[in-house]
Order: sequence, then C-alpha cells, then structure tokens
Amino acid sequence: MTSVSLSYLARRNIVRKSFRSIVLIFAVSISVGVLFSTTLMLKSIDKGIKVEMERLGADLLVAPVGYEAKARTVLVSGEPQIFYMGEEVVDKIIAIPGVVAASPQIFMETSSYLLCCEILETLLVGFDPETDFTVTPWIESRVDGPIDYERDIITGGMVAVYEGYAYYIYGQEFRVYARLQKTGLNYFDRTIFIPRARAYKLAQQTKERKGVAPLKLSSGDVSIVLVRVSPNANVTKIAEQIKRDIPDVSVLKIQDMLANTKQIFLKLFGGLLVFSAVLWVANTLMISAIFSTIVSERQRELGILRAIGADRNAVFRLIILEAVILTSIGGILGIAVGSITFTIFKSHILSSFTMLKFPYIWPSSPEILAIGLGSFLASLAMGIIGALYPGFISTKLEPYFAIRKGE
Amino acid sequence: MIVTENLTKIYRVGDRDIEAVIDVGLRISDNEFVSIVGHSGSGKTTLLSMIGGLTRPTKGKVFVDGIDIWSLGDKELSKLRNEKIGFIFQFSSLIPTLTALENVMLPATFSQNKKKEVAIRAEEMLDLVELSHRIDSYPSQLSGGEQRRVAIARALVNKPKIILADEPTGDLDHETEKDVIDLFLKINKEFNTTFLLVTHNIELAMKADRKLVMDQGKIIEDPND
Ligand SMILES: Nc1ncnc2c1ncn2[C@@H]1O[C@H](COP(=O)(O)OP(=O)(O)O)[C@@H](O)[C@H]1O
Ligand SMILES: [Mg+2]
Repeated sequence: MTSVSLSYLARRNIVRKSFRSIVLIFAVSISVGVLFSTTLMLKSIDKGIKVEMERLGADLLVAPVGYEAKARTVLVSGEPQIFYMGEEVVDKIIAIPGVVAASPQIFMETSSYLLCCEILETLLVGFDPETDFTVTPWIESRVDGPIDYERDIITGGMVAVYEGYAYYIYGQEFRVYARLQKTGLNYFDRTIFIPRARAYKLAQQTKERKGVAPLKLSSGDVSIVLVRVSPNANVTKIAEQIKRDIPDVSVLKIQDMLANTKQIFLKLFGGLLVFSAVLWVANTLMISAIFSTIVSERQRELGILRAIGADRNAVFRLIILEAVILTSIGGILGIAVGSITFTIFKSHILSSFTMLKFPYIWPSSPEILAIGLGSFLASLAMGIIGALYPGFISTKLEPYFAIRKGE
Repeated sequence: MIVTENLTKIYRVGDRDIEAVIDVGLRISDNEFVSIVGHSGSGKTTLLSMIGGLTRPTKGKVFVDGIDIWSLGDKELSKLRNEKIGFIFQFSSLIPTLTALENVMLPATFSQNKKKEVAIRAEEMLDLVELSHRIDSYPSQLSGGEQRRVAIARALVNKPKIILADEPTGDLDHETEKDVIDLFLKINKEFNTTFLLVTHNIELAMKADRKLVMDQGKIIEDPND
C-alpha cells in the first residue's frame, strides 16, 4: 500500500459497518434482480411479438366464429387446434375493396400415435402456394427448381430435416423442398407446411388406409384466412365489412391480438415491475436516511479529513462513492442471481410462457447484456441519488464545528 | 510568517452573542515556537482554528506567508491546509478504520504530491516518533500517547511550515507529555517548522521562544508588545 485512495477509505467504512452494509446490499440486489428478470421476460415477449408480426405479414385474421381464441393459440404458441370453415370465404374476402391479399391456412391433427409424423412436436399446416405471403417469403434454403405441389413440403427452421430429404407423413412420402429461416417462435419453427391440394388428398388417404388415425379435414376446408389490406386502407373498417358481408366468421386485427398478448403479460408480471420500481424508490430513500446518519455519525472524522486537506468536493465524492460501491455490489449480485435463476429455470419459464400462450424469443446476448447494463445503471443511480443530499450536507459542515461535535 | 489583524470571532447561540476572540493582532515569525496559555473558554481553540483555516472569522484577517487565507476559495484553502499547515488536536484524531501508517499517509490522499514519496516519508515520520514497530496497528490497538504520536507524524508528513497544536498533551501522563514537547522542539529545530502550541502546562509553555496569555478572547500578555 503506497497510498490511501478515496475508494479505499470508502471500502473501509463499508466493512466497518458490515451488518448495515449487508442489509443494504441485499435490499438493492432484490430490487435490481427483479427489475432485470422482469425486463428480460418483457423483452423476450416484445421480440416474439415483433417477429410474429413481421412473419405473418398480415393485418387481419379471419376464423370461424367462436374459434378466434383457438386461432390465436395456434399462431402464438404453436399448439395444434382443429377447426374448419368453407373455402368460399377466401373469395369473398378478396372481393372486398381494400383487401390486397388473402391466403388460407389449414390446421391438421398431428396425433403423435400411429403414423403421423417422424418428428414429434411438429405442427401440420396446409397453405396455399398461389396466394401465400407468410410462408414462401421466408425460405432460407431450398432444392433447385419449382415446388412440386404433389410431393413437396416446406419445414420450419427447427424441424430437424434437410432440404431434398424424404419425409413421411401418415405413411405418405414427401420431399423437403425448403426450410424456413429460424425465428425462435414455435409456430414458424416447428411447422411442416403442405400445399393445400395435397393436404386434402392426404386427409382422404388417411380415411382410406387402415391403421392410420383419419384426419377430420375434408376437401375445401380452411381453418383461417390471413388478410393483408392496402397500406392506405382503414383496417378497422375492412374488418367490420368482412364481418358484415360474410356470415359466421370472426375477424381479429393481428396488431390487437399481439398487443393483447403484451397486456396479458403485463397483467401477470407488471406487478413485478411495479414492485421493483417501488423497491427502487424505497431503497433510494433508505440510502438517503442511512447516509444522513452516516454523515452525522462521522462528522468529526469528516472534519478531520477537511483539516488534513480534503476539500468539499473530496468529502462529497467520498460519501457518494461509499453509497455507489454498496449499491453496485447489490446491483451486480441481483443481476447475477437473476441470470443464474434464469439459466437454471429457463426451460420452466419458457414452457410456462408457452402455456400462457405468449410468443417469445429469448433475447440475444447483446440484448441481455444491455438489459444487465441498464439494471446496473439503475443500481448506480440508487446510490448516487440516495447519497446526494447527505453528501451535500457533508460539504456544508465547517471543519471546526464538525471536529468539535461530540467533544 | 503568520499575521493576524483584528481577528474576531463571535458565536451566535440562540439570541446571545459569545465573543470568543476579540480583535487579536499577532505576528509569528518563521521558525518561531510560540505557546499560548489561558483559562478554559478564553478562545485559544477558536483562535487556532481561524489561523488554520478551519473556521471563518467574523471579522479581521489571517495572512500566512502574505496570503489572506480567508479570501481563498474552498479548493485553495484546502490545499493550503494540506500543504502548509499540520494540525494536532487535543483529542485522538486518527481515522479508526486505517492503520497507523495509513493514517500518516492520509494527507497525500488529498494532494498532488507523489504518493510514493509520501509513503516513504510516512515511514520516516513514524520512525521519528518511534513507532516503526506499530505501523500496522489500528488506533484502537494503540495507547493514548502512541495515538498522539501517530497524529504528530501525520501532521508532519507533508513537511508543513506551520504546526498548530491544541492541547496535544492534555490527556497524556506527565512523562509522555514531556516526551511529546521535546519531540516538538526537536522538529522545530530540525525542520524549521513554526509552532503554535496551546497548553495548560506553564512549565512546558516556558520552553517556547515566546509565551502568550489569553483571557476572555484577548491576548493579555505578549512579550513582543
Ligand atoms: N461552536 C461554538 N458555538 C458556540 N460557542 C462556542 C463554540 N465554540 C466555542 N464557543 C465558545 O467560545 C468561547 C471560546 O471557546 P474556545 O475557543 O474553545 O476556548 P478555549 O479553547 O480557550 O477553551 C467559549 O466561551 C466557548 O463556550
Ligand atoms: Mg480549547
């Protein structure tokens, strides 16, 4: 040791009152840990929603009346749901002015028993290559040549197959024509898309073959229609018109549907954000109170430092430094505990998100880092803001009076 | 060289004014060893504090080497305290969380001086006060006399031109008291340090080049007047 730095002085003081320091660090770590974890979850849902929007590329979703919640479940959490309506809906929608594109999708059973699918936990969806705007634009790699409607399928980025390979569905051989870009969302990543006409034929084949669970699907059924409207059209008006013109359908605005998801999340977890904000304020006040006590407890010491040559600025920095060291330790601890908890329970958290039907995409490392950094800054701010007033008071003491205190 | 002009301090307590120091004019040459005696409450501590830049006079001026110290800003005044003045208080003034050596190095924390030199000098000063063997002890592990000697070492570490000592031996036994004063005299001779020493011990006060007597805020005896 060749010199005594301000931070060394501050650290010695922290160690001196170890119980008080530990309590403070603990309190800070809870509020920062909760802030970090909740923000991380919120971010993952935000990302999920954004990618979902982008990939669907649709403004409206039309489903049989009463099935809108189930349609949402399929798209948001990738869980199979079976319901159908007649395909004439598609033409009626297209005929409405302002509608630019309308493409149906057909959800099929993927009963894991018998001969459905080689890979479990996939979703089987029929799509219409002629009108499609949600599947083919996102192809990452494919075999050369045009798609063969009779035998080709397109698979999501997480289905463990390669383009060109054979794939069996209900005993029928298909060729993997293309693979889609990975998104992190179940619906897009775990789906096998079959051209619509072939889907009807497959359903027929399951009904004729013995030893296979027959699909409920009949020729001409569609589950949902994804609708894109012209950029200058009024989405709400068009939604209303679809409902008016076409009997027995319900119309969901994609934007509302996803915004709704975020609302639900905030209802469930927003309390935690509020909790951490309240804790933040409470901790900042606590630091203010503790440091006011510290400043008066140590008046004489501060006076001695001033006599030795510390200027007001140095005394102020010493007080702030002590608070910031405490809160940043608390912050780092909170973030570390939050991260470890997340790492350990990641699969639990994600599966509960799936159960709650949240779209989610795990934030990237830089994003996690940024959230961690933000949370850390929140802990720094706690120390700086909390110690600001006591620090200011400490500079106002005239050395003589400070030194004679408690004489 | 220390010069005071009409130095006055009035404390306001409730609606009562306490005239602690009244119109003190003093001249202390470089290298001089001056002692101040006087009853308790006669204003000695207040006078020393104004000269050392610890409390602002109500009226009057303090010049240290020609600088009107109370016209300085906080930064400059702090720098002056750090570099030119060493304080020794009447109570233990060590920082309890720091070792003896760290306490002695503390002035360097607030100065631009080369830290390494100060560290070396800190050890030299502890050697001078004969505490080389206790450099890693904390104040609570030292006796009152030892603590005072650490404080003296700290006051000397930045080679100040002036030492202001306020009853530095009040709570020490007679033997230790004598040792401390002898140490002061030695420092005064060896480092050409100016001393302003407040003491109750007339016998010790007599050892100074000049003895001042204070009473009711005024200097009532000064051989130079
Ligand atoms: N901070 C203060 N507030 C009010 N009165 C004070 C204060 N400090 C000292 N005094 C008064 O000023 C007078 C001189 O005090 P002091 O300088 O401590 O004298 P001494 O050091 O000679 O005992 C005393 O009457 C004392 O009560
Ligand atoms: Mg006194």
